[in-house]
Amino acid sequence: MISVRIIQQTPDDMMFILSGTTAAFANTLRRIILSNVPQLAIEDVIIVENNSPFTDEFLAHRLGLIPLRSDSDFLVLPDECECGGVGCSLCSVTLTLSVETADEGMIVYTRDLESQDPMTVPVHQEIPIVQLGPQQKIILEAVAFLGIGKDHVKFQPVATVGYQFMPSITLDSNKCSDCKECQNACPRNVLEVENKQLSTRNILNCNLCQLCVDACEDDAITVSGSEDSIIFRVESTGGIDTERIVLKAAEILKEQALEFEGLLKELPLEK
Amino acid sequence: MIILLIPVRCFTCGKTVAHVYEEFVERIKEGSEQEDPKEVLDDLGIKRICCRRMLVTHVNLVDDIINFY
Repeated sequence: MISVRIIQQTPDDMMFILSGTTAAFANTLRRIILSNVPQLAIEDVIIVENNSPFTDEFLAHRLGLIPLRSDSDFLVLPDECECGGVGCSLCSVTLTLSVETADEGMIVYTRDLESQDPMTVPVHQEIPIVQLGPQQKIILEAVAFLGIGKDHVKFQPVATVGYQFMPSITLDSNKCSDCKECQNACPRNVLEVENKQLSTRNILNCNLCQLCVDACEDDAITVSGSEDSIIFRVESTGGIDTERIVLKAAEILKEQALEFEGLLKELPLEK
Repeated sequence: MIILLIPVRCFTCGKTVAHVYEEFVERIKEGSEQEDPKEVLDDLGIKRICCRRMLVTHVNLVDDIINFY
């Protein structure tokens, strides 16, 4: 039976403990988050005018990497849209940028992008897109689509997602000679020694590096990862909240498993 | 390759770093209110070494070339 215990949760960061499962399952979840959870990003850029020091492709690349937040749930993937992926109001959002400088140069930020849909805006307002000199002009139209990380990293909803085994540290205070070598060796300050009494604080910080085991000459410490309990960490780029990312990933995993089951049933299996 | 403007995302992990660049530069500038870059990065939420090097090692070359356009 899989159980989930949330340790820390904010829209941008999430940490939970998956227990009663295997690393294979955690890895499936990780890979689905990385490559299958849809995220909005600028895909097409129509440049009307650009006489800035930057080339058109440089601009398009930077625009693509800007994380967009969409609070509307109505958008669908272009492949599944009625329009066939051409870009209609059901599957795309258009943003426009038009800036012109007079005698002084300026930096163009993401806040200068005007979105057609007020619900869809860049996550950060202060990302510099280009820098313009005097008497320069940029007019462009950017079309954002939903996409998946398999096609391009800009569609990845997370910056990092990873897991590690839950540390299990056994301490034998009877063997301790109070040398404090283990405490000094630990890079994460997990161990504490006081009057020959070994203890741990915030065990989740332990990264199983075994430095304390090597430092201890009395063999009082053993560190190992427990295989059926996994610490899972998700860090969002801001486009989708971490909780929704994980739920969406679970949904996709279920869909894929059902699809696979259906395919298996069609096969003429030998009995 | 010459990187003219601060990259939008970290090359390694993909975290957005460009939005804190100007605040970072402002806060570590020499002067009475100069802060330790290490603490500024921690405060801005840039925790990993890969993202930190994006900000620490960037040289904003646009400022130099913009005069020739």
